[in-house]
Amino acid sequence: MVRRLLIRGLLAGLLAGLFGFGVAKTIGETSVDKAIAFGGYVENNIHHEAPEASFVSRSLQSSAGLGTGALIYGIALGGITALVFAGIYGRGGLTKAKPAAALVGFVGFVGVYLAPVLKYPANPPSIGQADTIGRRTALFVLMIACSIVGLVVAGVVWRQLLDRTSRWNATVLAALTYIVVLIVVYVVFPGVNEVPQAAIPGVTGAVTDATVTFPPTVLWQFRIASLAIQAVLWATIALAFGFLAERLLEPKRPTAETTREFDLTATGG
Amino acid sequence: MSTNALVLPEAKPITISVRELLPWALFAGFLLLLLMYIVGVEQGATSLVGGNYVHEWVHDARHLLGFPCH
Repeated sequence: MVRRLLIRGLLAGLLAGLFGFGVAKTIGETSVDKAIAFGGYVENNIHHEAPEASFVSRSLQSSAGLGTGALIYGIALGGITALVFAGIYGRGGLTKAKPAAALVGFVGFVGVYLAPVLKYPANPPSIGQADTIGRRTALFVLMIACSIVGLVVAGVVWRQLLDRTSRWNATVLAALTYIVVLIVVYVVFPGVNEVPQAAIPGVTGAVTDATVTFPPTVLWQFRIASLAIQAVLWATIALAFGFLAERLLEPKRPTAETTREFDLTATGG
Repeated sequence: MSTNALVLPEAKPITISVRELLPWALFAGFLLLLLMYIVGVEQGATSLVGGNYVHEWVHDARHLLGFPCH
């Protein structure tokens, strides 16, 4: 059963990757190109350095490269969604495949993407110092791990409370538990800001470069595009996998129509 | 109208046992996380295969998916 669910998850993930690639290509690449142009401008006109040679051309990066990344990531997310779904389906009153898959998708989107990037937002090219990549990656991955721990704790709390209080109360308290964990983690983890910012006396100090500021609208567009891609990925997986899992796990259940027909024949006699 | 005239059996939802799920979760979970690592981190903070080609190839996806890059 796990194998069959996993295959369905991978398929849903493949579809999600395709959609994610579509969104990335249409609304994401504009800001990536602008950010790269910003980097080129800074190197040429301010630092007077030759731009770094790239192994892979921009046209390949923004098409086949982007597509590969989106598809692999989508497939991986779909598979993991299927495994998590296999663990929760039928437990805690989650007896319907579609809502259970939607729950995994929603919680995954919030816990694995949204909560971590609220602390460490997505950054386009030209933002981020080469020598801090190790620290930034470690913090980001640790943040995701802490968020997932928070989700697990919230899940345990939810399960315990289901026996003692209403479903609504259990859900609200579980969500609050997760938020409390998140707030603690947000406070404990150090902030990271490497968005180039020229010094403005009395307002802000210089960040990474005293003479240039990264255009805020390009940054906003990039981060919104990133959010949109991740939202589309998770939503597609939740809906497509829910559809496939329902057909596998709940085949041909009696519909309201057929039930009523049976009722009429039974009482009419 | 009688309510208990005919009760169709509700399909009982299948619950997958931990015994059945665990090997899958460990093995497939590891491979799937490895895929995410390749897209998100490889040849950035850490490098398994060396070089820069993977990083350059998935560059745009890595940025847009929210991973730290460069």
